[in-house]
Formats: sequence, structure tokens, C-alpha cells
Amino acid sequence: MASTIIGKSIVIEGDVSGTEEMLIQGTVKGSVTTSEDVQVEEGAVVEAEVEGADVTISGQVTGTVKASGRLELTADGRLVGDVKAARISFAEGSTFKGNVDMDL
Amino acid sequence: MSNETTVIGAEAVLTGDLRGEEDLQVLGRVEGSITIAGALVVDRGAVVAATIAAQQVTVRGAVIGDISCSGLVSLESEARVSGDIAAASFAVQEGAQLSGKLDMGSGQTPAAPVEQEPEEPAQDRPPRKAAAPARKKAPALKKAPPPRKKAPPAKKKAPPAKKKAPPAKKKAPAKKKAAAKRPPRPRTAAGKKVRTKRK
Repeated sequence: MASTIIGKSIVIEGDVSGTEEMLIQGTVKGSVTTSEDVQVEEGAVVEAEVEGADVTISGQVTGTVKASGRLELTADGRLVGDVKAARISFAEGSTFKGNVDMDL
Repeated sequence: MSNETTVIGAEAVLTGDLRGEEDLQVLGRVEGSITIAGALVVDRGAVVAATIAAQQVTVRGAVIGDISCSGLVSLESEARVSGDIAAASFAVQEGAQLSGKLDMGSGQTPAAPVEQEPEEPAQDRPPRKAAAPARKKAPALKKAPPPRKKAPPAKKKAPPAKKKAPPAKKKAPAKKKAAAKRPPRPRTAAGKKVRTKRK
């Protein structure tokens, strides 16, 4: 039950922040920051810094990702950018380009 | 269900511009602008400090900024709006607070995608009106000719009446001496002459 949902047709140019779960299906250019989980769904385009607890990427993310918990890249996920995460999980078929830092 | 509605949660803050073609529910805070081809709900506790353009706007929270709406703007009892409102229609519940100008009926404000659909019904109406007169004109044209066609027969009928008239005058010449004398005179005279000659 994501508290914040960015729908498929939605385009946000700016910053989204909060202390609740975020589900992104549309486009966000800027930043996504939350203390809870972030889910970037298939078809979503995020050109932003993403920060959350557990971050799951099934869509396309361009930018730095920080996960205080786990970063999961599903088979449909594409990530271009550096990663800081306590744990990482890249599914077979996913695409990633960038550096990984697991010192968090 | 949730796929069709975008939600800015109670604990979320959006700073920037949001646009889209679906419904939006704001429970948290938005600063910037909102442009959607859909319905916007600013719920209780929400604070929207943004320029809003939407097809329909329902306010239960606080809005600071101008609202342009192609449909209905509804301010419910807990609404607080500080800004100008341009809307096609407008509803306010008791208890709502509004500080700003209110422009009703236009609703045609510069919100690109949002205004197009609502304008369509508006455009449909004139065509209907235009179509209606056209239909009225068409029958009128059809009606106009018939009288012309009918008119000739009336003329045809008229002559027989003249033909009938003389015999009536012949039968009762005594009754209409004063009134019928003028026209009948030549004919009756001729008739009398003929008859008199025959007799």
C-alpha cells in the first residue's frame, strides 16, 4: 500500500519527498526522497536521485540511488547511475551501469 | 484502481511541476504547479501552494494559488482557498473560505490539454443550435414552395366561382338589385338581351 502514487500519465519536474512509501509509474525528473520504500514500476522513467529504505526498480532510472535497506533491480529494471545500498539484488536480465558502494 | 489515480500522500511533499492526464488526489503538500486533464482532489490536511489547472477540482484542504477549471470547482466545508478561481461552474459549501476573484462561466483559461476536452462540449452546443436552425430553415423552404403550388389551384378555383356566380345572379336578380347590379349589369344585360332575343 504505497501512500504516494505517481500515475502512468503523470510527469513531475521537481522534487518529491516524504516519510511514506512511494510508487512511481510515470515520469519524475528531479529527486525522489523518502524514509520508506520506493518502487519504480515497469514503464516508469525516473531521471532523478532516488533515496529510500528498500528501493525496487522495474522501470528505468537515471541517477544516483541510495537505499538504506536493499536495492532490487528486477529483470525489467534499468539503472544508470551510482548505487549506495546496504544490500543489492540484481535480477538476471536487468541492466545496470555505474558504481556500487555498499559501505552504508 | 490505484493505477488510474495519482496520490500525493499525507506524508509527502512535492516541489515542482506536475502534469498528466489522470485524476490526482493530494493528501500532502504540493508547491509549484498542477496541470492535469482529470479531476483534482485536495483532501483534508493537504496544502497546495500551486497554480492549478484541471477539469474538475474538489477542495477539502488548503489551496494557495489560482485555480482554472474547465468544469466544476467545489469548495467543501473545510476548504480554504486563497487565489483567483476561473471555472465553468462553481459550488461552495457552508464553512468554506475563499479569498480571491471568482470568474464563472468562462472556464476557458490557458491550460493546454486540460481545457480541450471541456471545450468540446461547449463547441458541440453551438453546432446543435446551428443545426437546429438549419433544420428549421429546411422545412421552411419546403413549406414555402407548397403555398406557391397551392396558390395556382386557388386561382383555378376562383374562375369557376365567377362562372357559378352569374347563374346565381340570373336565378335571383330581384333579390340583389342594389348590391349586385354593377358587375351583373353587363353580363345580365347581355344574358337578358340574349334570352330576350331567344324568348
